[in-house]
Amino acid sequence: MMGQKNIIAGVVLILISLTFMYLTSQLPNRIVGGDPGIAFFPWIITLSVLVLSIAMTIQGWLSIRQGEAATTWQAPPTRVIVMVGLYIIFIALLPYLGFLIASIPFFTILMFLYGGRHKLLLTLAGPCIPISIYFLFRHVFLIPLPNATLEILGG
Amino acid sequence: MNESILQGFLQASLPINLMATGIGAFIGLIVGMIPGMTISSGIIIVLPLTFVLDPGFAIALLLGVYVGGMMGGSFTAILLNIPGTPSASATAMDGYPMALKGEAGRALGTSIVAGFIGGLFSFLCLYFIAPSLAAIALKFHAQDLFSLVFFGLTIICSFAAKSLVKGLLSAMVGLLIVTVGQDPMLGTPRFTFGQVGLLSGFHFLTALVGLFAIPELINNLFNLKSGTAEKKTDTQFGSILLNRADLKQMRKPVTIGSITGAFLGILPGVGGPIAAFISYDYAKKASKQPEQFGHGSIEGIAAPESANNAVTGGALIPMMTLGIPGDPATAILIGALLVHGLAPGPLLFIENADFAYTIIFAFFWANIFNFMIATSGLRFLVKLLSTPKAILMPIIALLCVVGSYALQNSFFDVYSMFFFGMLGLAMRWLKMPVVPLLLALVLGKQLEEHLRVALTASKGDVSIFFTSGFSILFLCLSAISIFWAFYANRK
Repeated sequence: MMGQKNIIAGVVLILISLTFMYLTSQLPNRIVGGDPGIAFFPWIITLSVLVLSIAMTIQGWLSIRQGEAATTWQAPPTRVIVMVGLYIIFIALLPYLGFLIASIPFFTILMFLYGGRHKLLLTLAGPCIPISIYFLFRHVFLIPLPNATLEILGG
Repeated sequence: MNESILQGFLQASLPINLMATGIGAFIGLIVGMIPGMTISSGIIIVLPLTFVLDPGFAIALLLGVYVGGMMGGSFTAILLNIPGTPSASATAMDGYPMALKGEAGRALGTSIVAGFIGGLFSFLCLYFIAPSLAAIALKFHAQDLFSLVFFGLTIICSFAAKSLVKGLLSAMVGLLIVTVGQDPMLGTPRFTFGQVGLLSGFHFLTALVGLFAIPELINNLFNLKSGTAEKKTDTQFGSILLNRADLKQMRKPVTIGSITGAFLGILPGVGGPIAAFISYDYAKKASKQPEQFGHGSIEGIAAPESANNAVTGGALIPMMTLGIPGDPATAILIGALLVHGLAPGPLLFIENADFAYTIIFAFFWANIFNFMIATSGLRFLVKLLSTPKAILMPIIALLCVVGSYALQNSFFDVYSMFFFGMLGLAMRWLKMPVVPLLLALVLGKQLEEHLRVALTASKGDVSIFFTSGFSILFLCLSAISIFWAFYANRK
């Protein structure tokens, strides 16, 4: 399984390094004094990434050839997929809904995902903890957290 | 210099800063005790709160968490056979058998005392070695600094990875990410695609939050599924007071552990787990009763505990004097200092000598508070272990977003935190170490800057790196560390 993973990651990294090599070749060639220029360091790094990615791909291929046991790919548990999806939705909606409105349902669902089944706990901690964090940051540490920008929410 | 020492001591001993150290140590002990939480995560949770605080208060708080976390990890290792932190893994080998024999209190007492002595020893190392090392580092030229940073990266790759290719690749991906933004010499934008948010590159702290916290949140979901995360804790563990014979038995392993830990802590990337296992091995070889190791030996707890606590002070030495983090936790501390406009490195002892000594003495107080809280509040701390993950993990998830946003009041930082979180998950899936990437993010800009300054000075002649003794030394050490890692991998 590790061999397959190495090949997949190696190929992805080869593509990324080739993309960065193209982008590096497009950088302006400004050389002041003896300075090797702004593309010098990226060239070293992208070339190194390319060489190492090829090495990792070859390692993966060799381990498969040496008879590494082939295993079927297992999908991550549903709750992990839900968690990642929830996080994406949360940070996408945050600028529009603001911290308070967006974080209360996010927090409550997360509590449920992490095994919280007590109804009272979900009902109380769900809104109370995000509100406490909001007030702690806004009024104690004077760090403003995002407010709602949707007109309907009074932003 | 003497005035700076006094100022530093007075600053660290201000009641408000002492309070911060105490709170930090308390939080650190709790974080360290929770299986699945690392010290780095603990510091990340506290970090956003420190942005608006006085630098002295902030560093006292963070050092408290750092020191407390290291000790807290051993409590669950002894009571549950689940090391709270990787550094406490060696402690479990003898701590848990002692707990099974009904001597959990004695094991915890040994761990607390040994950790305290290890911490104090590393404070002395920090106090005496750091200023001298900073004075030497001031003589470094650009080529020496480049070679030093390069050495730091190679040693991290070789220690942090089972596969050298993956370790180096992780570091190179980190360096590639660092090239995004304005270049450090001329300020010309690179790989920004016209996005203003990318002009200053990715903020190091957002990367850190994402790389460490998000995979841990996911990992805890996995553990929840397999049911390995939760275990009931018994708070009836007897007295933690040690008798004279126990203290006498601890002398040799504590000495071995303290010296090993402080020395290995100075080497970037080695960290607590390696120091703990090496000192355990040394202590076993030096013991009159090696056969008791693994079956509940006091020496088997004292050596790794003193070692992993001594690592903390050791790791602060390269951080403060050279600007090179010894472990992920000190990398976060560098980020925290940079947020306050304080750049760790040799100039810290010249331009902000008072503050440099404030850090050193705050570290001393952190050890004192840690010991006091651990001895007096152990039962209460153990009870806190039963805090449900259903509350803890969502709080961490929320604080990741809040902490990233609070850095610059920018959603771009929140999105980049999430991007790094996904990158961290992918790396975990590939069994690719994340520490080289993290340290490349910390050191990458310096690496490029020193390289280009040196080459500019020599008009492009690369032989400049072989004209200075320091540079040659660091390059030789880099070569040795790479070849050693290659050799170890092949074995």
